[in-house]
Amino acid sequence: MRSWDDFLGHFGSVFLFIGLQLMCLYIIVQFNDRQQNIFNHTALLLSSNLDQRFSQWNAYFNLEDESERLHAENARLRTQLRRMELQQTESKNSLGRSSTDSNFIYHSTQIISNQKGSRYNQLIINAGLSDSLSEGRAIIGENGIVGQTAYCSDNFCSVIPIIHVQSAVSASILGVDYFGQLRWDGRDIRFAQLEGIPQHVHLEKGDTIVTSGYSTIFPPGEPIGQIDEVELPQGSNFYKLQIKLNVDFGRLKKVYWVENLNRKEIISVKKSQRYDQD
Amino acid sequence: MIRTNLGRIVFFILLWALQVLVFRHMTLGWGGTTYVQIFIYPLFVLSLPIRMRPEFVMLIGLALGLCIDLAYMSPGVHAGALVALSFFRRYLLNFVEPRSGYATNDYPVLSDQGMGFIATYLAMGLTLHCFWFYMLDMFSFEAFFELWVKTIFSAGFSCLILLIIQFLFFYRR
Repeated sequence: MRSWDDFLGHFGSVFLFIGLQLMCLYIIVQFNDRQQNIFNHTALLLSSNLDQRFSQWNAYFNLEDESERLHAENARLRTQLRRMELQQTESKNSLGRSSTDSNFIYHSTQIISNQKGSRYNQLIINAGLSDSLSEGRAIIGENGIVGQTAYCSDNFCSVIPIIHVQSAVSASILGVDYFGQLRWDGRDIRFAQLEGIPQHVHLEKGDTIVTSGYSTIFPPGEPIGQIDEVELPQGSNFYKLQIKLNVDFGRLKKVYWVENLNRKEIISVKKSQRYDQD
Repeated sequence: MIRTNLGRIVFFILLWALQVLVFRHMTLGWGGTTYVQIFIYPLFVLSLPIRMRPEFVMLIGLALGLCIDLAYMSPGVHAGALVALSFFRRYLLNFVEPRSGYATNDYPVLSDQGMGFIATYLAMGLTLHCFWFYMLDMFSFEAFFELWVKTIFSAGFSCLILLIIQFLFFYRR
């Protein structure tokens, strides 16, 4: 208490001085037109300058949010694109199907763990059962397919990428429609191998490989990569194609997971056929 | 005159009346700008007892400044300047303190202190007051040179007037 008194004794007049000066400044600005104008002008300059700085600062820190938002918007646009394409083909084919809604809905998410370097590569994304994501859903990157979900917890899913030796994706050559199995030999994460294209098909290096759509997982027509090397093993009727993948697994961050609305139906149809055979 | 409360009140009113009725109209300027104004009311704050608490001095300064502002139609400007002068008064007093120190009931006026003391004290006090006044009045450091010209001229003229007043009121024969 004594030190507080000393403090006030020493600095009380300073505080009073500052207080009285502030009061006088307030009175001056409040009641003198000229000073008020100067004050207002200065305050405006100062605050606009501050605002600008703050918004720059803010923009910097909001980049993450911003990119998040753009990513989500991309997902929505992709869904819409899919729907538009479908509507177009519908009107072209005029098959008279009742539903013109797209079966595929894109959701944005991101990869939080990316283990590569083994033959059994694995990714983890931060969407899970609570986002109604479950196993066997397509994961698609900015410019090509990434893989499919394998095991899901409430908030996370592990993904088997196409650079996993047990991965197999039905793929076809754009414009040719013959399809084969895309596999990975476990060597180079930039390349995968497409097998099962018959040798009479005319191929060229650089042809685009897309998903075939013969799958409940991947939407048709999603890009995968380009033919980098055409090889016809001796005594085989099928090409062995080296595919340069579009997706760079070295720096993958934002991805989409794709919901197929008809998935259950298709699976149940497949199952019932199996039972019939049995 | 300033050694009793009544005397101080009379002095207060006298300085206020002189400032408002006489010296308010004695301005000098050229080129459309007033460079010289004469301020005599700082004398009141400057003549308060040396040992008076700075807080009281400031409150008195505020009151006198506001009274002056009433007449000048410039609320807060004179008051702000006078509060500043009241605050810095003790540092001025420390600066001009004679080698022998101050007596307990000393006043910083001509009858108690020497001529050199008073001249230095008034010059410094008025320079400070005028600077602060013109700072609040112009409210900008854009015309810094003009600020100083006004300060020096006004302080100089005011100082002369105040020395005359010191001789009139506080000269001990």
